[in-house]
Formats: sequence, C-alpha cells, structure tokens
Amino acid sequence: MARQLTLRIFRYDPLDPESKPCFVDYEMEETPRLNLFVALHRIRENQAPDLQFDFVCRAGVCGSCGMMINGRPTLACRTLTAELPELITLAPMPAFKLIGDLSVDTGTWFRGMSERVESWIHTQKEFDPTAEEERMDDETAEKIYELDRCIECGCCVAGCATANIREDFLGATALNRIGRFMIDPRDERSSEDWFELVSTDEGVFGCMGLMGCDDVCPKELPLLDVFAYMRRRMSQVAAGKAKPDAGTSLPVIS
Amino acid sequence: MSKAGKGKEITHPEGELVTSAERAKRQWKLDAISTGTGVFLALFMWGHMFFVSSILTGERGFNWISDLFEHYWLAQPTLVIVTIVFFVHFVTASRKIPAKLAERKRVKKLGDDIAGSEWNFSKEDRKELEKVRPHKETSLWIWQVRSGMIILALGSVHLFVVIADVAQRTFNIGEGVGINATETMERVQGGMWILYAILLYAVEVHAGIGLYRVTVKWGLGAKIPILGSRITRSMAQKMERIVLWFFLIIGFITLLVMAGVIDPPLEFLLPAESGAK
Repeated sequence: MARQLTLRIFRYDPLDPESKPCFVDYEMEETPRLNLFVALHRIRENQAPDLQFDFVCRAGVCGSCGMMINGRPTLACRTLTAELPELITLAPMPAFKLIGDLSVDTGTWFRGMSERVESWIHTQKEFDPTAEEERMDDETAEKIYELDRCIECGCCVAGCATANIREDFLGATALNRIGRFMIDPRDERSSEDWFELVSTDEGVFGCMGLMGCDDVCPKELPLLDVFAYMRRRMSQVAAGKAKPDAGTSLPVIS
Repeated sequence: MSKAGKGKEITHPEGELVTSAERAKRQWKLDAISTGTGVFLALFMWGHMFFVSSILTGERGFNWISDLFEHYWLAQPTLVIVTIVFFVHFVTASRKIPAKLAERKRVKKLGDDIAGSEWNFSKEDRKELEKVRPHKETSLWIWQVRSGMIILALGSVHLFVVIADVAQRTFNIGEGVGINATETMERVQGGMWILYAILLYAVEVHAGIGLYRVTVKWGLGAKIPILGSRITRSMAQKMERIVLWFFLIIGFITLLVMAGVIDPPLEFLLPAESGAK
C-alpha cells in the first residue's frame, strides 16, 4: 500500500505584511519513484497555487532547487521521497535572502561572491582573436574542470556552520572558485595576490573544519582537498617560499 | 587582492591601521600557532604517556626515569615550555569557538540535521551512506571544545601539582623529593584518580580529534613520504581511531597500576635488585 506523505513546508511571503512565518502540512499519496520536484508541483497544482519554490532543469545541473530537506541542504530534484520518512520537512536554505516560502536568492549572493573573488581570468596579455588558443596540459585542464563542476546551488553555504553564523565568511563555493583560478596557468594573479583574500578569517583560516560543505555537496566536489591545498600554499606565501604550483596535490578525476 | 585593492589600508578591530596583506598575515599566524601548538602538545602527550607508563615496570622504573629527568635538568625547562604552550594553545585555538550561545546552538542544530538522522534509509543504504559521508564531524568538533575546556581546568591543576613537585626538589624546599612513584601513587589512591581518569580521557579524545582535523585541514592530497600514496580523509579517520584506542588502553592500565588495583604487569623487565634506591 502506498504511503501517505506529509510535507511540512515553510510558508512566508516577506512582501505580504499579513504573512507570518509558519509551517503548513500538505498530505499526498506517494507514487512510485516520486521525487520532491514532482511532489512540490503536485502541491502547487492541487493545494497551494501560491507556493514559491525554484526549479529549472530537474536533473541536478542548474542548482536552483537547493533547500533544507529534513534539515539537510540538498537538491529537491535529486531526492526521492522513498529515501525519506513519511513526514518530510522542507525549509528554505539559511544564509541566503528569502524570496518567499522555499525560494531563496542565491543569485545576488553568488554575484557578490564572484565580484569578491574577481572570478575571471586576470591577465595583462592582449587578446588576439586570430591567434591559436594557448595549449594547456590535460592534467591541469581536468583539475580545473573538476572544480568548475560547481553548480552554485548554495548547499555548501547552507550546510556550513561558519557561514551560518558569520555573514562575511567566503564559504566553500568561493574557496573552490579561488582554487580553480589559482591552478589556472592563464591567470596571472600571484600567490601573494591571493594571500590577502584567502589567508584571512573570512577565507580559509576562518573555516572551523566541520566538513559540512564536503558532506552535503550534491556534486561531490573535492572541497576539503582544495582547502588543504590552499592552506599549504598560503603558508608557503607567509613563509616567503611560495613557488608556482598548478595544484599538484589536487585530485584528478578519472 | 586585485591590483587595485592591493596594499589598501583597513582599520583593524583594535583601532590601528594595517594593510590587508598584514592583516592576512596576522590571521594566518594565529591559525598556524593554534595548529602548531596543538600538534606539539599532542606529540608531547605521547611522550608523556610513554614515560608515565614506566610505572608498568614497577616503582623502580618510574623513579629511575623521573630522577633522570630532574637530575639532568630535562624536566624543568620542559615544564616551563609546556605550560606556556598549553595556555598559548588555549588562547589561539579558542578563537574558533563561536562567542554567542545562539551561534553555538546553531552549530549543534546544523550538525544534528545534516547528520541525516531523520532520513529513512534502509539499514544497508544507511551503512553505505555513512561509509561515504561520515557525518560525525560536527559532534567531534563539539566534543573537542568540551574536552578542551575540561583539560583547561583539570590540566591546570595537574600542571600546578607537577610544578610544585619539581620546584620543591630543584630549589630544595620542604622534603624536596620531586616526582616519585610512592607519592604519585598515594595521591592517585587518595582520590585524585578521578581527576586523572577524566583528564586522561579528555586529553586522548582532544588530541585524537585534533590531529585528525589537522590532517584533514592541512594534509589532504599531500603525498606520504616513502609510501607515495596521498592522504585521504578515511585514512586520517582510521589513524585517529587506532591512536586513540592505543593511548587510551595504555593510559588506563597505567592508571590502574597507580591506583594499586593491579600489579605492574611489566615488572619482569627490570633486573631483580639492580638500581634500587
């Protein structure tokens, strides 16, 4: 017999002065292979037409549907109700601005993060559109690709204790982004340039080491490896022994 | 960090002007000191355990070592250094503890939630998931803080007692016998065993978790010399468990000998009468 599910959903519309934050229960019958993406759409179609939540790709690629599912930040589209008990609590991710109900504004946060880490290749070289593209060895390209797999869902930020209590903390995704540019040979920022941003309490040395980011990352990025690599490299800078290093100790995807 | 922002001056919370590079260096230094002192103290504790467990060979073995250390002026400077490092570690490491109760509660709640305790996995799946994502890190961190506080209190008492012992002998105050087995055992049997048992457990837990976290934070991906393989989280976890249990077991056997519950099991190692004082 199919299970009767209760979805306890956080409801609040910050734009409506009448609205008070609360949890509302929605009942539904579980169908085979039901995932939360479909479940939430059913609720919006049949029970709560004003329910706000974000979805785009339904395949764990766009990073829009990150939410707290029974307290754990993860992607709703990749979560089957069969993995959960009959009572499923859904809440918006903390650390981001609430748009309404389950929808949070990760966009503004990630834009700010990109500006803070200046998330683009810094080079003095004049771009020549007719020239052949510069070659990069396979290993470096694969490492960059591995870190570039981040879909900016924000789960690592929501699952990070430090980011939860300190607004100015860069967060795992930003450190991962920095790692990506650190090992990119086209980026001319030196280790000393990175030091000012990374080697602070807002950067990698503010991390308490609770490893929540690594444990909840839906893309299973090697976040802890990136941080360890950064700590070592920043210590070389502090000791005045920084050498150019394209992330030799970072894992390569196989 | 950018060319434009490089070397810009910012106001430090203490009110002085520093460049962002100087500030970064300061924060790196504080983290490095807390890590370095922690590793130093953990390694010291291993050595400490090794020498204290000389009681397993009987009172003579214990006295021979403590006498050697005090006579050749090894114990005195070590005591001073360890006491300083002990408090420096407390000051630098406690920077990571959130100051507000609400923040600490948030850390705990988040840890409980992401542990997936409410997820309805089948037994096999849960086992599989825990293998891939061991979710004990937050509670381990919380226990590291708790054990650290216990060590701060009980360790200070222990340091005071040992400093008093060594100072009495060094400066010829009172009976001036220094660290010796008879007095130590009397102390343990007189009720101090409670303090030492709690302190021992807290130290081993604190040092074990600390070394594990340092390995994960600084060492992941680094190549291990000789073996050539890279350090992984599960490897660090296994090491932590082995080290923790090894020292806990030796520690508690040592404590049982000191409390007079069991006889020194390694007494046969020492020759019958030689070296008796």
